[in-house]
Amino acid sequence: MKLLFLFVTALLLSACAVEPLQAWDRGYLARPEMAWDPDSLSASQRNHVYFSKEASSGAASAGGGGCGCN
Amino acid sequence: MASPCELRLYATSQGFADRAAEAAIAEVDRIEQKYSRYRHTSVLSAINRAAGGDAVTIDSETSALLQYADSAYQQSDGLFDISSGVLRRAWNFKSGQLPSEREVANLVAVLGWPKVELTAGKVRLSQVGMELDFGGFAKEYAVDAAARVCAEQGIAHGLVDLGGDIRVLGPHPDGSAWQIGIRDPQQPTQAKLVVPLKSGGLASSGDYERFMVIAGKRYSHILDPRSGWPVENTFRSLSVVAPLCLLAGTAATVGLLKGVIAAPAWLDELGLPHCWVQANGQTGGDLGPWQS
Amino acid sequence: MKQKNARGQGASAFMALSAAALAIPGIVSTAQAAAPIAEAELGYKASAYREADIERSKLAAGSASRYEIDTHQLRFISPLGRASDLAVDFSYETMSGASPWFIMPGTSGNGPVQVMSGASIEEERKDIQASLGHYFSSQHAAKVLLGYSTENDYQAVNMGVEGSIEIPARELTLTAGLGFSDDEIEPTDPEMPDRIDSASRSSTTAFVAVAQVLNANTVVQGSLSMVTNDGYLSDPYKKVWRADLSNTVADARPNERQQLVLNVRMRHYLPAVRAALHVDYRFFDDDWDISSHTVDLAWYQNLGDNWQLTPSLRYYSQSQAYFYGPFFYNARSDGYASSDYRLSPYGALSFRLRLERNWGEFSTNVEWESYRAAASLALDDVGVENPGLVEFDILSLGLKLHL
Repeated sequence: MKLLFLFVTALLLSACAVEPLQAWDRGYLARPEMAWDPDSLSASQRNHVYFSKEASSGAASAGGGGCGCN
Repeated sequence: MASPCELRLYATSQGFADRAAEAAIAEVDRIEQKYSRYRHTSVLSAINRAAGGDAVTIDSETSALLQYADSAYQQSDGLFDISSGVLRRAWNFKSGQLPSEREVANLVAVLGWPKVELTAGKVRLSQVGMELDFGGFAKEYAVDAAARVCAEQGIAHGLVDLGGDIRVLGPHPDGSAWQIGIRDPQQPTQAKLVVPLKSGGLASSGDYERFMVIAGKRYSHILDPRSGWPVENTFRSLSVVAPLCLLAGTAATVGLLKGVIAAPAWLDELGLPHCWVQANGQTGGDLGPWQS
Repeated sequence: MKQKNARGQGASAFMALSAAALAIPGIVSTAQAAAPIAEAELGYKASAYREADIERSKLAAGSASRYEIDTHQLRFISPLGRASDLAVDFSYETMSGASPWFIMPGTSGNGPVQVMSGASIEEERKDIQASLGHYFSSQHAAKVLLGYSTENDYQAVNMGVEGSIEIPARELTLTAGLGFSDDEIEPTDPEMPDRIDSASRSSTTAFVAVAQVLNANTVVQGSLSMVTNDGYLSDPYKKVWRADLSNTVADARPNERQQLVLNVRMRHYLPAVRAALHVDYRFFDDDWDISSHTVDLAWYQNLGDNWQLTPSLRYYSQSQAYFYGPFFYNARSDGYASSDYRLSPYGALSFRLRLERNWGEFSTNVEWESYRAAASLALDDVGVENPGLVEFDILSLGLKLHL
């Protein structure tokens, strides 16, 4: 637990050193394949499969429900 | 806009390209109509009509453009002045006649960006006879706006060219740069230089389009707003590359007004790549490769 | 383009001019800031999920053939006015096949063997999820989510809220959210001995996430989620073999489970090869003693103007729940017991390949995944492998249409 918080704090602190990007430099970041989930249907289907076949689940989302999964 | 305009877009289908082009052209038309000096219905005409009178309420786009003009005025030590268009009343390059010193001095007394009162959401030209002209940057702005529209339509490879003011949306699909020809001031249909560009904007400013020679002396249409007289000893043409076409255009305009001695150092300080053609045909600057 | 290094006063002049230029509304796309999606889109995906047969040597009784799921998914996203957008996801699944029931000790020298549920299960599942996003400014956005899912023996409603704030000066996006789901289980065969009639459980999720743009090519995100599950968390269809009774007892799990999930994701674009690298890592830890590590790597390679090939690799390893055992010699003092392979220690390796073709107005894709779980793939040494571990393939076809 302690380790985790250190990690998140480190991530936050690293933020301070970043220079703002100019708008014209954002072309690459805006590309569809740079999205967190470029194919949301595929991602939601796979997450559902992993959720029902593995003990772990969870992501940075407030959505989704359970299932009776066999 | 009378100058030749060109949109070159790579898209996966004709329909896709057409849709992007249509949207981009509509955006250019919108800006042209809004800021044209020649249209009575334009926002610019409304501002100019109210010179010496009440402040005119303006929208956020117009306000941001005027803020940009203000910033450019400050950063160029007063060389970039969108109120200097009134000098046209004295200078007629077709007449072959010089204006009188007094005529020019009277106009210089009327113009001047500091006489423009820019407040939140409002602008007022404080003297009767004052006039703003967006000619010095509206076209460059339209180029960037058209490029944005194309990018929003999903175009990743393309080029917007409004009469030599250019913005590249990304290289050719194979990754190679666009080859941008810079006009030869002596033979304007030919390219004097070729500049490779993968992204960003390029704009040129030249003193060869309108000028007159009187008693062996050349008077060009590049007028210093501070004196009202043509700038002496400047380049025939100056091209600047910047992340935005608008920035390139402003830098080229100011560079030409700064002249042969001051411009290269100033552009170097700004960190903007540039190239020029001199009166004797010689070329220079840090943009290449050169074409003889 | 690269700007040369500007010097001193020139640099500040350039910055001042740039800032003024970027403040002009028409010049920069707002698409990069928090903004509603620009155009409506319809997506469809059909997937066939097939589990490999259980090995004969691991099967004690029941069907060797396992689960099959066919899934149809529809997704519709659309802008809603100037400052909102909507996403609706619908999925329909039909499931059939046998699943692991309980595990018996094997004959001497061999590992334990699986008893599969005898009768083939035929079920369908429908799930609808909707989310409404609202953008108060280019820096503030909020989202509400609502979902309902139903199966023959199962019903769940879920809802959630998320809020995000962008800090442009630091290139940071902070997101936080709260989710809640309420599930009702009603086994289809309550006449079976010791089968429950009905039960319910609920789950609450809270998360915070930080996304950071590192440079023009790289963005990372870290997130921390806490999940609390309450209620009936056992599996009503699974049994546990008790050697002392020579009989089975019901799967019995604690009725509370606290989970902690740490996610780190990175996206990096390589312009020289026109590819994007995705690296995802997840650490999971719960109070059932299960902890797991997941690493997912994907390489999005653009080919020509219209094709994209994406190979991916996923590795997963988990430790077991403290009350798990393939079978039990006698009752645990706390009364809990489960032989579910999902609570057993194992590792899994999965390989995916995705090919997408862009046709302009629409795009099509085909994706294949091959997944194999085994005790030998776990990070830690595993004494006894659960014979019910899965191996499956998924083949899917997708279509995306810009409306």
